[in-house]
Amino acid sequence: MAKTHKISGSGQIFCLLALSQCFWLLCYRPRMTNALLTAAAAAIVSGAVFLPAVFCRRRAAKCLPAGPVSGAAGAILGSCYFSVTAMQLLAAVRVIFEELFRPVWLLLILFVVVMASAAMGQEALGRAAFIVTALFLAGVVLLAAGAAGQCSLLNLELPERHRGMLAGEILYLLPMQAELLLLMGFAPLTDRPSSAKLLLWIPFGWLINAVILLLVALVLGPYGGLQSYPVYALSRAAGLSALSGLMPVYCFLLLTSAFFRLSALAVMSMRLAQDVVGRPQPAFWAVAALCLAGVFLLYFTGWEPAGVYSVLAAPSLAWLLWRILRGGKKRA
Amino acid sequence: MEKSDQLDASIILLRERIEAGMRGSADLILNEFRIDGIGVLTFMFDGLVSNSAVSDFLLRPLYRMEPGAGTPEKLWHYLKDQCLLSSEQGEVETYSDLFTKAMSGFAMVMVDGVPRALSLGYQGFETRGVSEPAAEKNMRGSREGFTESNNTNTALVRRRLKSPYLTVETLYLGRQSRTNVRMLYLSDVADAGTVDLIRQKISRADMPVVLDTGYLQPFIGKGKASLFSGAGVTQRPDTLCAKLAEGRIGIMVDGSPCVMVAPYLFMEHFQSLDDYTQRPYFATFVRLLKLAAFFLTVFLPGYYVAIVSYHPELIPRTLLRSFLGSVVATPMSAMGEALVLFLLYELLREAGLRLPDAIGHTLSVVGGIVIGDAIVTAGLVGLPMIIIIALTAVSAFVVPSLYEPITILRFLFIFVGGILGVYGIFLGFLLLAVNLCALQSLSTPLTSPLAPWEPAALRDLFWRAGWEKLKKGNYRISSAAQTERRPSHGENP
Amino acid sequence: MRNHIIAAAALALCLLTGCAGRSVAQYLVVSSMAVDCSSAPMTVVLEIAGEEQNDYMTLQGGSYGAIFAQAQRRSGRQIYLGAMQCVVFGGVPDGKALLSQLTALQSDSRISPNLQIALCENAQEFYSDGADGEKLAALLTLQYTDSRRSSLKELLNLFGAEGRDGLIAWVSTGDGELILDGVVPTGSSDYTAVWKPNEFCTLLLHRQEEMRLTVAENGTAAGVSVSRLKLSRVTVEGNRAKARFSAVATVQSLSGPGMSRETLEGGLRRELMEQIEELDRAVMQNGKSDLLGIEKRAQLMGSAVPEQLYRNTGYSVDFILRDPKGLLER
Repeated sequence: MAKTHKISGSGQIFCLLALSQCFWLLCYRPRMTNALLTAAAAAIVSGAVFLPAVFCRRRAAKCLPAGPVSGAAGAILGSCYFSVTAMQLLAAVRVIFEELFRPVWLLLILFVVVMASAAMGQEALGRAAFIVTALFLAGVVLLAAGAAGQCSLLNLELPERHRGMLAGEILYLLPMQAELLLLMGFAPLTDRPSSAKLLLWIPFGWLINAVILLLVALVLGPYGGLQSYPVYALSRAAGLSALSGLMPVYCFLLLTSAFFRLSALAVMSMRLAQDVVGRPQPAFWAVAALCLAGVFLLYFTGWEPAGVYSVLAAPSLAWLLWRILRGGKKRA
Repeated sequence: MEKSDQLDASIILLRERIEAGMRGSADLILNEFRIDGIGVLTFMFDGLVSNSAVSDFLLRPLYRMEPGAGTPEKLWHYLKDQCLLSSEQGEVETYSDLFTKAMSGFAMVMVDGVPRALSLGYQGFETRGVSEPAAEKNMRGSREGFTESNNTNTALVRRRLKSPYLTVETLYLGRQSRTNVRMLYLSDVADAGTVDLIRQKISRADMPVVLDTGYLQPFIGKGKASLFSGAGVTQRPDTLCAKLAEGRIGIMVDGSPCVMVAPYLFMEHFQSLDDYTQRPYFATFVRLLKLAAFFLTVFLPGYYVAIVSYHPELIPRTLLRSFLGSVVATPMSAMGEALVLFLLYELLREAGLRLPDAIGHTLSVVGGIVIGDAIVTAGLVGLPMIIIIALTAVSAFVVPSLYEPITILRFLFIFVGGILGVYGIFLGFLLLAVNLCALQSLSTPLTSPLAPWEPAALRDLFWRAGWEKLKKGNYRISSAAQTERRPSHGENP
Repeated sequence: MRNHIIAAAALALCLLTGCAGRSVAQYLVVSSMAVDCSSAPMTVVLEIAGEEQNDYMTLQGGSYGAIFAQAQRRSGRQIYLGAMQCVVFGGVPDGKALLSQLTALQSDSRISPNLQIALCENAQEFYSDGADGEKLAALLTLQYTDSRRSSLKELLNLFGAEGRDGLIAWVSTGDGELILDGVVPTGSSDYTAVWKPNEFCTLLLHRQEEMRLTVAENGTAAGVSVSRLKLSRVTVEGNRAKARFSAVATVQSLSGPGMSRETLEGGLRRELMEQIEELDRAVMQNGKSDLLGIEKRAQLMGSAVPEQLYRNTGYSVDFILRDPKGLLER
């Protein structure tokens, strides 16, 4: 199987990052008292991410492989985000599938599949993200079509009533945005790093999330805040003709978003690790070992993903700032 | 050229060498003549040459030759330029070329004292006539299909593509078979790098025999871990001409009616020549139907097994009762049922392919009706499963060129669905998508023109635009290849 | 070689994973449930879906979790709740009691948000006279053009939200048939008092497609079909709300000397206003229920909402009168 090592187009990175950005909503545990408030918080978070993304893009256009220290730090951070994302997905899957499968094996299968796809190269991942984005959007449209008949303005809770929770919501969502790391990792290897698409994924991803949140608000109303995984509850409430629930649609959206986020994190970590060790094979195995260790550490310690994200936020920010300000080895 | 391989000048040595090389084959025809005291040896194979052509254009002129030939060289030139008529005439200087030509239906003439042989094209071996290909029928369009003769096949292409740029290169592959393999391409359209790459790849195919295009396909297609090949096959000259016009390369193998086309993209499996003879809206409908059939046949059995085994919520409430009834009666799990039924289906299909037509009809009755009905009545398999299997089996034949990967994928997804439910099905789908995107046909990504994105090609991808749009510039496969080879920022080209 | 090892390892992992697949028939598929909340511990009758006919299982327990666990132990099969279509409660005294039941159901993530809810007199006897979950679901669906209006999620939103109420169906069985006796407004203080809504109410709450009225004026009777009735606008002026309804009326028949458009419009407006006032007297004025969601709508429009605004509401109705058969005088 021929593996390619470069990414053809910025459009593929756009799709990859947009899909990754949808993950937090699909895995949203009940803090969502008000879906519209969450949408507003997401908009503020997207705005907060936009400015660093501009600098990341600009720096990524100029810098080449990371130095050994920043490369190692980036690879470790990527592996940590990989682990916590995998644990979030596992928690959701256990609820959706009602403990039908043994969690350890679910994790291992996910790990093997993600690593196998990461090993196929970042270009394959980008192309697949580009193609699957169309299916993802079709899934969102299907969900909207199935839920549209149950929309009622009377289900809306006005955000003003929960204004005090806005700050908490923003602080909850902000650390989950791992896409800046991904942007920093992938942008140097696009054919057009200065393309606007490398920024447009932010509003695009927010738009998809906003549509889903609006549906949650109109269809579920306050009931959505009582559920673990409100989007899952939305998919169960939706229906089309003989289909009395659209759970497979939610499952597809969740797994797609998680798969591309995890694969992208793995590929980015491998890339950075390769900058450190110099060869792809040892970098692959090193990152795989790190990710697996992280996953099992979180599984057996039971640390909450929200807490782990908060802990990772500061070092990630520091790493991004370091890369933006100092960059890597300059081009000749 | 090795010294030992060079033709001897002496006719005695030539005869000895030929007889020794052919080990007294019964179909060997060696005739010796004397013209003006100079020996002339003819060498051919019975059944490969046309007896009437040999008699009229070789033996009669030789017998009727007037004396006064002079030296052997003069006799040689006289025979070559004035006496012996053939539209396909050539010279060989080695024993390996001598045998190759003779086994290709040429009559070889050697003159004592001249270390060369004259090859005269008097082929008269039996070939199958041009008929409609069984596996690639179209509603409209030509009824001609390729035959086992490269000459005939090349002529079929040349008739349709009257371009001076149509290039036909010949290679001889197979250590023992020395099969005539031809590469066809339009030199003004095909990417020169791709042509060189194909030539190199097939030249390096070190095999004892090359009897079909399938022997060469792995060398051009993809690696061992891939289900999808980067080379396609066609039996239709009109299809091949359309592909050549897009910059692809055709590879003909003498003795095979299947011509390989490379590069071959994934979406081409859903296109056919009928698309261009039908109205655009209908052609679009058929293409989308094929795409839907592909997804149906690969994923439906696994998905059904998954929901019956793990996710009853996904079964429509109105059908839940019938599922309860059908499943409780069967001794096997849903996965077991699906695997057994598909294996049974593949057995029947394989048996049906090898049997004579008369018995084949009986087999279809026994297999389809008797076994299928009995298996449900006996309660071994549930009725919904039979319906699923029948639907997916029919859907597989909508895209026959993908039958092999479809069959394997179907089994894999049944397995995955039975073990991991919908979780496994979706993860498997995503892994398959990434795998497909990782594949390349020569230097062209298999998922072109979808990824990498080529907007110009979209008019003939999922839908077929009208001819007003299609005629405005062709999609060229070489442009996709160039996209792939464009260096990225930050890397050396 | 390494790729083969990796592939084999992956395959082995697949084989070891969750081979606990079970077929549909091995689940205890609950089709519907009847819950008697009149005494503790509560008594629950589960309707189990079967191939030919359904089975019934009566259980007692302090919580739904305990009851479902009991059902699993008794049957030896894993309970499956995703196919449950409806739950009928008996012996519910008031909204607070029902809310606690619904909250308990909601906390079980296996239960669908679209679970239909109904009330009855005697839950333990509900299935004894030929009633079953499918008939109940069909009846509730018939009662609404959008059946999800009496679903679990809808009712929880109604209970949890301020400014609007809904209706819960009250059913009984007789001669093997299910009968809809009436409804209970969710804001009502007494959940045993069944109320029969008038046609205006049932039309407004999408419980039927249209209603037929006869308007008699000057010896002429016009048969009119009213459809697409909705509350189109709510405005708040001080302590008083003004609600405007809109509808589409179609003249179906006319018997008598003749009627002009103006006459019919006047007569129809009177008929509709009578029905509105009847509804208002029965439900809104006496503080029973904010059935029209007056407070919620005012809130959405950003108006200040006084306490029990819906008790002091003025109504008006606009309609488009269609005469496709040309029966009216010009």
